[in-house]
Amino acid sequence: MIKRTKRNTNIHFEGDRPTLLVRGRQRYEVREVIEQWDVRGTWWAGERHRRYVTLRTDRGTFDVSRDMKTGRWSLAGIHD
Amino acid sequence: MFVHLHTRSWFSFRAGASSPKALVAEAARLGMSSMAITDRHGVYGVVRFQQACKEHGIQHVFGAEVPIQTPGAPAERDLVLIARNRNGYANLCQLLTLAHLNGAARDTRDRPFIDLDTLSTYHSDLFCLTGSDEGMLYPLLDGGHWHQAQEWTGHLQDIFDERLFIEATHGRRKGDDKRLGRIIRLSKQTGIPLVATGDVRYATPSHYWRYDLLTCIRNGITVYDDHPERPANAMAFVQPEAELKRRGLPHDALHRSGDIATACEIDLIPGEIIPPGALLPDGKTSEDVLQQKIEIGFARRYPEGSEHREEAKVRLRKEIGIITDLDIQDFFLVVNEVIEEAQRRGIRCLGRGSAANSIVTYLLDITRVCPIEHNLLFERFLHRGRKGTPDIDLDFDSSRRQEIISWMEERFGVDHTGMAATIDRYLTKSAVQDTAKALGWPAEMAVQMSKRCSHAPPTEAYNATHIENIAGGASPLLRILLAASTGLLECPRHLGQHSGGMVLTREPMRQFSPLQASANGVRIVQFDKHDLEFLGLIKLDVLGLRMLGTVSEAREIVADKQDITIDLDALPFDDDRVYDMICEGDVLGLFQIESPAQMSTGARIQARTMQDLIKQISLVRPGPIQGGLIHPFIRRHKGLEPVRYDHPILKEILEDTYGVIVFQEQVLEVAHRFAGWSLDEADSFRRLMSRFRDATEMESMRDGFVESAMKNGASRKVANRVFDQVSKFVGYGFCRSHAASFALTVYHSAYLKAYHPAAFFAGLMQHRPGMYAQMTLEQDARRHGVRILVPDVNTSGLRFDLEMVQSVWAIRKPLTSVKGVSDGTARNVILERENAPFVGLEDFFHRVPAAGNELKALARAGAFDQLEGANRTVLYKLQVLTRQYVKSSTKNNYSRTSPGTTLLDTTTLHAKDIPALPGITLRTRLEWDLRTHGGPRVHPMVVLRQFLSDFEIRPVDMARQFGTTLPYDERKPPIITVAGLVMFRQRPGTAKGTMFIFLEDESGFIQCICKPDVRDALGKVLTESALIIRGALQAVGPWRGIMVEKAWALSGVIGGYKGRPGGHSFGRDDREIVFEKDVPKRSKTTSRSVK
Repeated sequence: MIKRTKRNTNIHFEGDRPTLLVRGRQRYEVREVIEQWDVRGTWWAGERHRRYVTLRTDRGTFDVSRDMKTGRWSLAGIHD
Repeated sequence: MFVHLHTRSWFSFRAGASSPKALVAEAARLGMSSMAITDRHGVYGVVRFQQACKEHGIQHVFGAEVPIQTPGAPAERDLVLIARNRNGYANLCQLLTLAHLNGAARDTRDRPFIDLDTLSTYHSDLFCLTGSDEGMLYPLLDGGHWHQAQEWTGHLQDIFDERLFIEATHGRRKGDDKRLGRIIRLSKQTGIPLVATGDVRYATPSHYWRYDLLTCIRNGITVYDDHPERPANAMAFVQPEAELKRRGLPHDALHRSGDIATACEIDLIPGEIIPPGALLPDGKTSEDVLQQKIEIGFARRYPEGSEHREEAKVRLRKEIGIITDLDIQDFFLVVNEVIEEAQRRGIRCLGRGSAANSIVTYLLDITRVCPIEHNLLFERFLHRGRKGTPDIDLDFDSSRRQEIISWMEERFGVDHTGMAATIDRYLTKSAVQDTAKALGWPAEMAVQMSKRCSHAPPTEAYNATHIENIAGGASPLLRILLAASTGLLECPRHLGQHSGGMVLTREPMRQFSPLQASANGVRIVQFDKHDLEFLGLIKLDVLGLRMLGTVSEAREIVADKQDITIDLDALPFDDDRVYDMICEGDVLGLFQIESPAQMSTGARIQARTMQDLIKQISLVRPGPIQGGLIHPFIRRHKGLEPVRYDHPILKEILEDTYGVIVFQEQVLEVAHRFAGWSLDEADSFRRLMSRFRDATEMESMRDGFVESAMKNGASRKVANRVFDQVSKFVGYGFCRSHAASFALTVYHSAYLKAYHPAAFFAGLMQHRPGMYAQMTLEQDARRHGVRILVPDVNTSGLRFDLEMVQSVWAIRKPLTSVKGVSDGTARNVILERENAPFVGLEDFFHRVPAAGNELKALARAGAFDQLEGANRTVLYKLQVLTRQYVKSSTKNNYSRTSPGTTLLDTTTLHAKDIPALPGITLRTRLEWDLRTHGGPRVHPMVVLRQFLSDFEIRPVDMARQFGTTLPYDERKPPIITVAGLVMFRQRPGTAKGTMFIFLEDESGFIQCICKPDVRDALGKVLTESALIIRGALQAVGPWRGIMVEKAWALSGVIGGYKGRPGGHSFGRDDREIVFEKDVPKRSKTTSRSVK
């Protein structure tokens, strides 16, 4: 089960590898990048290209997504 | 090095979004040395792909996605097959042909398929990739069906062995990482090597939206709907190797693609023409046989002492030299063979188009006009620099064209013939309609949006405003609609069938193209005429011309009924009666010159020779019309203005058309002789000039033309003036040879109309070659003293025929002209009456097994009038007989239409059963005539005449009195009001918004011209089917027209011309009797009842 959320999130990288996920005051250490995929938004409605990443951290698994134009990351979902 | 081996172009027909050119350009930009095209279920794009690859200096690889049916699988899944060499390509074509034929046989033309057995028969020299999303393997792996996946690859390995590769793709979609892991694992377990592909659907990410839109359109869904075939992202573009590496595709799999590409080598563009083989006697070459046939033809066409003999000899030597250099003697012999076969079968045929520019085609009887006499330029047909095959169009009597096609298939072999295809692309209307539907507008609105769009792009002001009005105002989605539909323009939509291009190959067709079934079941190749030219293949246009059928039919009727043999080909072209008829505008039904535009031009030109006729035909074409060349031509033709030439060379080229460019050959000659270009360059220029162009393109052409002309000795000023003149010939125009061929048929049809009108109209009504309704033809026939007789069960046949009535020939309409009567029933009637004529309705009912609606249609058409009288009784009697029959057949389980089950003794008419019924009103009579056989015994406007006369609305033939018996001053034209049925409306693109309305009443017809401002002011009134029109009379020679000022709907006209419901009604309402409802009601009011 994945809970969908749109809360802003920061991701810290070492090179290309995500290492830390920060939500508010919470910090999650990334253990593994499980999957990455791209979604092209609704071209007729102006929605933009996003990249999704599933991260397994020390305290749960998260889907985060990045707006490929602004580079801004956000939390897309939390795995139960 | 990585090579894209799985690439769909937009020739996958709405399953790919970029042109081969764009794909190749992107591959070249990324520094790739090679690329494959693997379109869905065909090789439609390979010729253009090879050309693009050559242009960019990269290697081309050909393949296709081939649908395989496997037992247990719910639908066909695609394999990607790649041809290693020519043999592999032939096998690929064969597999695709069988797949398409299988699909057509199963009645699912859009879902072709082959089975594994077929694949194992034609596998040699093909590389096999297991396919991507549309393949079999990925769904099995995604579903965790590991063993089935292994089994499937095992089957393929048995067939392809080391030529089988597991396709590995990664499109950055959710689940792709997991799937790639499984693919790698399967490869390791089975030992089948991996090959990486980009599974390309478009060239760059910017084409993604188009792919998504096309996918929605193809699947009949909107962009708001989910569908498994819709792309999740924009990653199916021509990706660089590094990007694929980043996605995790193994290094060896990436490089193996390059190894496969290196092993492939095919060249489909030979650079020479490959005609089909002619039939040659032993020991003779095609050169010998052609020479022999030419000599025979020469002796016949140019006997000793004939006018053009010496000139013809010189011309012939030149033509034979070029034909020999191009080594296409077989081509001419093959066409000659087709003509000879048609002549042997008595099928009228005629070569037309640029082929008539050749003396060789004239001597071989392919064409019928002397190129010397008509000053026809051979180079328009053929020259040494010509790219591709010469174009020969053959017209056959349309009713017998199929006979010739069948013979050609037999003669050249089914494996060596196929019809040419057309690539039907998105144009403005289709793009707007499909895009609007996909964006969620209701289908009706989408149709409305597209309906009034011009050919300009959707974003052009007129189109955009119209679409916005229908959409109810501007919105962000409307902007998307305009942009997206514009982006679809030129994208191939589907494969169509060429109107008559038959492809003939020397080698079996599978060496060049797969065959597939068209919508009407004809076997077509996968290339259009441009591709076929590059392939060096011969396309012979075998066209059907209804007018040839009309002419043949009329000749046969005259021979049969009047015992007169007419040799049309021997007619001299100087008959005053023929030209008088044309000059008077009595051209309805004639070939090519019957349109209102031709009527008006003909009245101005007053043709008295074949040359005049050729020019008249050629003037009413988009090229001369848009160039505004008609009026200068006519003024100079009449001597009203002097003819001036800017250069002496132009005098030689344009003298016989008064300095005006009328023919394509003249553009060619101006470019060749005035601008000094080679014939090849001049021909390319001619083709470019014939197209619609933008201002920039035009100016760049001007620069080239002017520079070249100046080098050839002309001044800049003159060169610019000449270019201005040439540039007016925009759009399509005839070549002189084509017009000369057509003029022959014009003359033949006019001759028959002038001398044998009854037979001519009978042929015309049988073949219906023109634009006029049956009612209009019948009216015109009556004006020529020909009576029209309604269908009759005792005298009508299967075709329009003549009967002598009171020493005058009359046309008897056939039983097949009655709507609703099948050919089978008509044949049964004729067969049965050979035993004995029918003596009454009851006799007919007992002897002919016809359905109830057929009997009713015959009764209403008047087919029993001679037996029962023209009244309602016949329908009443039918009702009685049918009731008796139904009662009896229900009891005995008989069927009326089953042969051999007539109930002779169970139905009987008794006088007491038939009441005295009122006669049929004229309105009902006319309506029945119109509905059943399209031609009322008198014109429907007769019914309204008295009423119209009371309002001072005159018959249209009154217009003819002005300028003859009444005065006519063109500066103060009289205002007249007429009324009639609108036979058709025209708004030609060349008329700048003017609408032409063809109005007909019982006295004749007249053209009404509606300028754009009046058209807009009158709005919907003009869409009515009957109108009252007031306007200024225009009179030019015998031609009359009305410049419309006002118009009103004429409602209540009978017989299908009812006009607007609720509008003002002229005369009484219709009184159609519906017996099922009326009989019981009537029985109460009559003394007898129906039992």
